[in-house]
Amino acid sequence: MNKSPNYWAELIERYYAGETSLEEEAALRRYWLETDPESKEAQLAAYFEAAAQQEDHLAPEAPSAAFSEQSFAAFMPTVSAEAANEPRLQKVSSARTKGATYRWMRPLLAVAATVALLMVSFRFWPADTEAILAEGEGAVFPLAEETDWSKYEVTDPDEALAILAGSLRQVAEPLRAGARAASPMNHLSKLTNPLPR
Amino acid sequence: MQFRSLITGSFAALFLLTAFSLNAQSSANAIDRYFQQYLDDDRFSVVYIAPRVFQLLDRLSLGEAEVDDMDAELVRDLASDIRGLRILSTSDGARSFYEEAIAKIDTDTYELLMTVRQGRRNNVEFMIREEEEGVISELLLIAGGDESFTLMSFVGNINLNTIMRLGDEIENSH
Repeated sequence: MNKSPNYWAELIERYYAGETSLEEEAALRRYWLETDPESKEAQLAAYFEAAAQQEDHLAPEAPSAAFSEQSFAAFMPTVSAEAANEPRLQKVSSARTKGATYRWMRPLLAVAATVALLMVSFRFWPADTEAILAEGEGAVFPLAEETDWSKYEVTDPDEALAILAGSLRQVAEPLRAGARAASPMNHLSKLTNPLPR
Repeated sequence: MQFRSLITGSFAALFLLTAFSLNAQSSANAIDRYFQQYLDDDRFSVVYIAPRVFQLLDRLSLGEAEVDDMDAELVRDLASDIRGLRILSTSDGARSFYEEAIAKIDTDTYELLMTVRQGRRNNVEFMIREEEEGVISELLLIAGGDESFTLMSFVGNINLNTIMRLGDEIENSH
């Protein structure tokens, strides 16, 4: 409560603009109750405190009953008709009622968002990664499934092995030659880089 | 307010994830599109060995297959880790196809392992793609000169040391 008057003035402005967090609103309610218990805001704060306590004790299967219009009248008989007709308070009350009504939807929305996220992720997951993970169940090349490779596909294992052996030979020879050509450079690199002490 | 932040954060995360995935996919697909582009071009010879054939190779007795004078154990060793092979080759306009392939490779995805010059105007480039640190998931060979152009893509868990040993065996057998 040891905040400057400017802080509270700004917080109240943000409160009526609907931009405060739940923690800030709780602090604001305490501020009103402590500084001017007779004010309309303090009475409204008392109502919300009471409603929050009542909500905590409600059965889980009836969460939305806490902020109905009837419960407002039942739990806040001290709010005068003048205060209840105050446009600013009506706005807050209305926002609160709507917020409470939709609060139960939050877990559902979270689940829906997670499912959507997973669906989008799998849709755009790099196809080659997916294929490698599949370990031979399908094509391992990203566009292989979109392309008709059947005309060029080697299906005879003997022929495939012969082609693979020839291909590996084609790879192995220059790779070995390159590595051999690079080896004096490695030797030179070792000579020029002093050993760590 | 917090709920709004949660929704905004979720959308931002979704956007970033989608952008990242699309980028990774397009990078990896660059060389695939090259294969796709010339797949039905009569000037090219195309070979494709699908993963299921490699699964059969695991069970195949090397004695029944023609593997010339290569070290059969090394070939079997390599074959057991390879999941796919594609080859594209031509002798028409080899130089230009080689240059086109080199230009299309995304160096963010493929890392140049080695360039070997064979003869005056024949180059062999080895590019690798790593899914995780130290694990080569694709080996790309791009060989080109005045006479021929070959693009070869091995996918799987590629062991360069075994390929090097195979190179030694070939050299020793000559």
